[in-house]
Amino acid sequence: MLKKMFFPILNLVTLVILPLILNYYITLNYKESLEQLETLTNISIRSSLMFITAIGIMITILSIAKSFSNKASFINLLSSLGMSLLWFLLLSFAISFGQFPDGLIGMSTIYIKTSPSMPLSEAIVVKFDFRFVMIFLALSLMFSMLSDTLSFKEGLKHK
Amino acid sequence: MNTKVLTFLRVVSFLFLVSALITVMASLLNISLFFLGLANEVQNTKVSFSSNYLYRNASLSIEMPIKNNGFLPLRLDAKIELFLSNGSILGIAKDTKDIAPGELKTMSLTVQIEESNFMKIVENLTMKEVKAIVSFKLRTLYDLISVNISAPVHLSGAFSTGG
Repeated sequence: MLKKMFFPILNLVTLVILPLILNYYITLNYKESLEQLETLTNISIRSSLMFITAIGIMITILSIAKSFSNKASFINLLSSLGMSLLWFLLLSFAISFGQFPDGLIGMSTIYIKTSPSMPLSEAIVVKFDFRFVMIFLALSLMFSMLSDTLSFKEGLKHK
Repeated sequence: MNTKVLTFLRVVSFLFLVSALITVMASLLNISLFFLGLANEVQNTKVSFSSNYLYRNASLSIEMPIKNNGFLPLRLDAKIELFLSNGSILGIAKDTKDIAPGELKTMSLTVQIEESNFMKIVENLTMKEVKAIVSFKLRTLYDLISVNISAPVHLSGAFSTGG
């Protein structure tokens, strides 16, 4: 039982509880600084943390389904594939500093303004190009999904 | 046999994931170290503007010493675009340098302004409409990761010193 609950609990703590606590803590203590940062850079740390929490809840649910299902069942296969996809989404989101939709293809743009009233055309533009890393992440996802599918097939044979 | 294939696939997947994360962390750390060191060097930047009313041409020179404080080699592309706010481009200058870790190099950018564009500047001096966009493209980790930074700069004050 404990062995089965290890990964769901780990996912719950790292991807749901910790981001929620961090979000609550920074909102409570650094609200003004956060608002200033959001105005000057267009990066919303609180929204990013909420996004991580939302994905974390889905990953936790899928990991519970995976832990308590038979290896040769479709629930196990679907939850494994879903978890791989969600991890890919989460990592691509983190790598692109939460700047979706550009982030999905490994490019993200940040506008840095020196004053809140400054127009975007006057702002410092920082463009990150992580497309090469996205290829590595996509390959990782592909191999992970392949191993999940083969594991399911192997389970069916033993059944 | 199938167990070996499964283990192989999982190890390959894990290695791709770890290499992606290490690539991001190493390149971001390298770029951050570069920018932290750059703050000291920027103060030594030399900007000079010379103009010749007789031949109606001018040139804007920027010499910026840049040191790579990171731990990976960097390729730095610097570009300056000089233009009027109505969009007409007056001149462009580019420079590219490969900078090894710990090495200090000087980026020299010289924008040559020819006769037709020189008159545009003279006409627009009072309007303070001469602007520049300075952009840096940093490539690290064997050019796999790149960061492009561009900032608009108002230069109209610089032209009033020419003569």
